[in-house]
Amino acid sequence: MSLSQNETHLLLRIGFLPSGWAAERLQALGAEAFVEEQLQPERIPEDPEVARKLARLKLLEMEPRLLARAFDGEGRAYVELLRRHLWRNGQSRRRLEARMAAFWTNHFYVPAEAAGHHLADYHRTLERHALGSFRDLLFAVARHPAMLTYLNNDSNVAEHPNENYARELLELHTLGVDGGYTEQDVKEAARALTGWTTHPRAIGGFFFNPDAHDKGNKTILGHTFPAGRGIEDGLALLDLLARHPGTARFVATKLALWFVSDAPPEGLVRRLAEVFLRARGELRPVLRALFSAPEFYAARGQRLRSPIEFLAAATEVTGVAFLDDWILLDALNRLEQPFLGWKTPDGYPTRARAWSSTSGLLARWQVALELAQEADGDPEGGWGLLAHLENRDPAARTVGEWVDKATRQVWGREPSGAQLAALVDYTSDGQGAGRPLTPTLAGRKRGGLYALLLAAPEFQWT
Amino acid sequence: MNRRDLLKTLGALGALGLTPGFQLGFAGRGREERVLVVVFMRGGADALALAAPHAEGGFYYDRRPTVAVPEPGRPGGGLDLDGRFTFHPALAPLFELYREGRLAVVHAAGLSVRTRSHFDAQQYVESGTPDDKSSRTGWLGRHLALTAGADASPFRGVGMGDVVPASLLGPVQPLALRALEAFRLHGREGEWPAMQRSLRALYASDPLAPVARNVWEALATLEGLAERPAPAYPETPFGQRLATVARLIRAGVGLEVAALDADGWDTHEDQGTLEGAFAGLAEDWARSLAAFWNDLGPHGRRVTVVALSEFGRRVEENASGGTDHGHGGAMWLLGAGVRGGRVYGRWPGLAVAALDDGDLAVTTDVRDVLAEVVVRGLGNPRVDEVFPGYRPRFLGLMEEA
Repeated sequence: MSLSQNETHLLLRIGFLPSGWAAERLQALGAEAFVEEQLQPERIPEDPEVARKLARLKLLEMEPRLLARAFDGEGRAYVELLRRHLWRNGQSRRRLEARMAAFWTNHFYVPAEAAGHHLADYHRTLERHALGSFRDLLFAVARHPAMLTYLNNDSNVAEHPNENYARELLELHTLGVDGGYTEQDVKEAARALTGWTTHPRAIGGFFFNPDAHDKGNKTILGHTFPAGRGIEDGLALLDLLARHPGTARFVATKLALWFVSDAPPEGLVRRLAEVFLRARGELRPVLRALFSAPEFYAARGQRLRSPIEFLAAATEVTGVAFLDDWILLDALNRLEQPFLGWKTPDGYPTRARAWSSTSGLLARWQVALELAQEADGDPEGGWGLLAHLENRDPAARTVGEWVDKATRQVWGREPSGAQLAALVDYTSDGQGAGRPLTPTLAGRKRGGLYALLLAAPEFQWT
Repeated sequence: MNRRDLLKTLGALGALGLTPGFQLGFAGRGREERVLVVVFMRGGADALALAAPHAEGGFYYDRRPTVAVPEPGRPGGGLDLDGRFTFHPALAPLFELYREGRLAVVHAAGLSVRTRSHFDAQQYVESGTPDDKSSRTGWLGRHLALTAGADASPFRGVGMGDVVPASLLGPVQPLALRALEAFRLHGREGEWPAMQRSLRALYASDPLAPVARNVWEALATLEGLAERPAPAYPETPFGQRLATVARLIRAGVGLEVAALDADGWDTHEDQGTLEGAFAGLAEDWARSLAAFWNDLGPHGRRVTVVALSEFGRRVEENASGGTDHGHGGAMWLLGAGVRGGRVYGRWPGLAVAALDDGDLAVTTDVRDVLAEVVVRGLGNPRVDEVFPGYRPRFLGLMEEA
């Protein structure tokens, strides 16, 4: 079985490794049907082990109000959410859905610390619409207590408008910073959203307080909002933004940054934006267009995995499961991407430049070494991991064959001459690709080889 | 476009520390930059117990039956600063520095907005843009970007601790450093030398090659530092972080800004005064800073320390023997350029009418103090870009550079 370059690329960008269940499924269905199946995740039978593990995360199903009263409910739900994230992005068969959920939680970003006991419910809300419609997402976010409190719309009242949410609604959620709105539009949008607040006894936590609403007339993006209205002001604003060509363009750009490259071709972004507009913000048509675009397939190796993507992929390669919450959280801290720990409402950056720090690269190498060596049964590893690297290791007669197979399995591509030489040199103790692979040699080299595969640039770029 | 072109087009290689000339090595260059060390006292440090306003009499003592610092001269009394304020006794190691004119206090300092949320207040202090969440960078990050030269050391901005403080966010990638011992790379015994050769070769022609080179250089530099004996700092996270900062400064690795946290100041319960949780925090903080200063020796001439918190705590203690989130707090300045030995800021008093919703009012915006440090201490005049939309008012607490 051998995947084409395009097939490998498709799998990597959806978030799979270029091997295992996904590789077989893709070869059986072909790219188009494979993407179609990923777009209908409920039709994909989940890996039973993953389904079992996800079903055990009970706190994520709890009502926020009850969670707030549970012992360390907030902290425990946060860890469950992280585990869920890694399982879904590193093990689940419904990978595209997971990747889109990660996209939206970063797009409509609320830091874990700010969301508090609303965090899990907020993520569940976004996940529900991950492959659905942008309009539904926008309306759900605008009424969610996590966002209302984080960006202070709960204190946005007629006498003292607070512009934080209105500003980010335009700049980060819909039109984008270059979306053609003015400072005046921000002010007027804030007025339109006065009175949108929270109430602990309201369904879903959202409450519109008519007494706090500014009933005067408003002009936003050239549209007149007549005086005397209430909640309709905000609803009309969200509707206007959901249908706006600027929003289509901004969301298309961000999707292209997420799935294609740091500098997505203009033609691709324009086409995706057109599909978005035509489909009235339905996301499946946009994703279909994206995964069939030549520009998508031309962007091989141009996207740097973010640290959490690196960790999810590395755990999939090595098959490790973290036994200890603290070690898992600490690994992400060291990689400089604490889970939902970014402090500003723009969410974690996606461009390579943001993830190219000296200490960040060192941390990737450290984690690669620790994971692979411990997965190989190193008692000194100290990670408290369960892993069976041996079971994943391809059979081979020579070092050259071993390195070649392992490389394809982990990187999904044939190594260049220099890369192959570097790996063979280590694995054969300098004796070359023809050295027979004995069980003793494999046992001595396995941890090191996989550590190098995970630490190499080819594993950072997809 | 391939990956190499991609990184080139970013046009920020210098800011990333990717300057090719950098391979010449930064260690041992003996740089003599001015260094700013910013200590964030997370949780809302109780300024009314660190620099207690004993002259307020009943306004202070009646509202704080169990968490007030006794007047100077009384049993357990504090260290008189100027007849108005008294240091908590645990700040004794800093008292000498105050008397020598190296340490200054700014009282009733804080944010121009009245949030009592840790998260919001910390974000506002670190972004340097109160009440505005639209900033994507931190004030220190903006300073580093504005002063970036071609010859960038990866140690220009260092965040000490588990995560990099948000004040350092910006286009210049800060170096995250937990401890010298943590900045290490080890493979399995016997295999590691060969693995290392292979890893170097794997990165030889990748766009990330300059970053990889920085990693190897930084590893070598820090390994050399770790072997020297550590002087007498408290065996606490804060003390050890400061010890590491001092090592970087002495080694001349090109450090310009270090940001680190002194955690644990959210004393809602059983705060205590002379004993208990608060006294322990204050002692660790003061002893660590004093040890840092002694350790710097002659290097202290180019090092300025600023310590601050997201807010102060309520004047009145709560029913649990602690204090809740307040508003006005204190800022602390130590070292190069500081006109110390004084308590700065207009003191609003603790009379009922002077309070801001029950809290010490803010009469000095944190940005006034930080901007003066940026301009006069670090010689960066572009303060309108470090603190956008704000026109700072200097208190005269720094000497003109």
